[in-house]
Amino acid sequence: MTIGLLEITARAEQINEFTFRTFDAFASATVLYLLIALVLHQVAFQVERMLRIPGVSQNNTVKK
Amino acid sequence: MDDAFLARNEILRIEGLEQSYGSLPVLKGIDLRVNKGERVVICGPSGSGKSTLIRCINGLETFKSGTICVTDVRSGDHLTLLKDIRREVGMVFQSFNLFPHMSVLENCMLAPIKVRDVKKAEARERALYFLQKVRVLDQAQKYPGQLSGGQQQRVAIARALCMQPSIMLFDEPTSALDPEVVQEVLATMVGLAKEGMTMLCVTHEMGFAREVADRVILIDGGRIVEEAAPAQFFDTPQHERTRAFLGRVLRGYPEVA
Amino acid sequence: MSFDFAAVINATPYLLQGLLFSVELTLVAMTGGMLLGTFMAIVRHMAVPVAADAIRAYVTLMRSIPLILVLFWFFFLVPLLLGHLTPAGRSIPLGPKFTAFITFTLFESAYYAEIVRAGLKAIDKGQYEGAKALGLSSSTMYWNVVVPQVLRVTAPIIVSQTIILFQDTALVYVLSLTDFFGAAAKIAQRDSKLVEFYSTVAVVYLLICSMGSELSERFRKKQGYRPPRGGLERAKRMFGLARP
Repeated sequence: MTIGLLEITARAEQINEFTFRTFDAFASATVLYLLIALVLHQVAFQVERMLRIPGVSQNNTVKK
Repeated sequence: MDDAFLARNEILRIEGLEQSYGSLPVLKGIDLRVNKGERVVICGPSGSGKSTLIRCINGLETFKSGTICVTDVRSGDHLTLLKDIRREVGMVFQSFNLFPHMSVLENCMLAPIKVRDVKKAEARERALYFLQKVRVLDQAQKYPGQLSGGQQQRVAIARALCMQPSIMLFDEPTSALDPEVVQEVLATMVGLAKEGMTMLCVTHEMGFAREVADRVILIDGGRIVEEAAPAQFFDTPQHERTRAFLGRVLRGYPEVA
Repeated sequence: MSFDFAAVINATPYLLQGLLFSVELTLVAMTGGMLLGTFMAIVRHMAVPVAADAIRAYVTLMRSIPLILVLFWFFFLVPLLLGHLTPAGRSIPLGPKFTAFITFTLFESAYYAEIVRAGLKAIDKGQYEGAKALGLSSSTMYWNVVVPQVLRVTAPIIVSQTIILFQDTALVYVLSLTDFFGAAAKIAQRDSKLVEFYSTVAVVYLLICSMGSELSERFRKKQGYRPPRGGLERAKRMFGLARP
């Protein structure tokens, strides 16, 4: 935004300025970010599972 | 002897203890009683469940069925709640588990202050007393990372003693130590035994067992195979598995034919 | 091409005001974020039935959306929500400064929570067992035994996150607040001295962040190790050019 490149948030702001539908614009942007993030989270989770060492506890809590 | 006396004299009672890792059974019905002042040594091949048994007592492992009851040696109360049991059961680990960011003295003072509501000054005195008992008093201001293995283990023993437990559990206390320092830790444990502390010890140190134990127990395959006084256990073992185990563990022991 | 640093020097009081706000916001968000984050990490580590999942959702959410968007949400949404709660029904505006403090704290707490949680997993299991065997309660165990060790281990990452937080304070412009960068930008645009002001800002940020890194190195090496004393050595270490 600061250097003129319009990414998701900047476009949401633009939409807000043009249509005055603030909530819709920012909600859509948020949902978009969430979807991308959830995909990335799944990828990270799969990678972590692949790298898991058998026999090593993943959380090292002592059972209550 | 009436029941009340017997009941108070019994510090630890385990009945029908069963435990499995997933579908693999580890403990298949253990019954064990330890009386006040008794020293019991548990030995057995690796994977037999002896560590699991000890760790079930103070709740570091959960168990499937059975009962564990610890008696408070001072009040005679029977304790089944985990937090009460942990108060009365002291444990010494193979890997010491001292808190590295606290000095030796602070390590020993923490639990009495937080769990037994002891005042700081008294906790300090108590800590110094027990540190002197295990002969590491001169290391009191040092940090665990600055001590040798033998010294660390002795501090761990003092730390457990500061809680003045009814029974002390030892989980292979010397297995991670260099041979030269094993003796100093064992000597400390012998001294403890001579003062009448109730002890339940998992160890491979057969010399220690012979010298100090009132009873030696062999656990194999999740069950108690043999339980006897040291003389009988070592010289005239009843079960073949005991003989096999001793043959593997003790050098110069007559091999099973 | 001439550098007119006199303009910068004239503007110093205004810049310092902005810097003060940046530092203030960073400190508040770091303290609040660390406290809240540590608490959340512990709850997750203990696997408390409902709370752990709620926290997991919160952390995932906060880390999925850019800070600027979170600022927008809080600035527009929270007054609306508060308005619905009160009988009047009109939206209550929160001061932008208050919004900034709350939002930054909540946002950063998600990141700090993950850092501390990684630290909790990294601590040797025996520490937990030793503490439990002594009969220590969970709170004593975490507060006296585990978290001090976690903080020592994760100090470098926490400093990294705090440096990022400090640099992120520039985003308060969306709330019409003036932080250090915002102050410099305003004057730079007013006086048309973009190069002077932006380079000054860059140098100041660099100095502050390097000091932060140096501080964490000092804290880490507190037990025993003494790095070489000479001024040049220290400067080299600050910029990551010398062996620590």
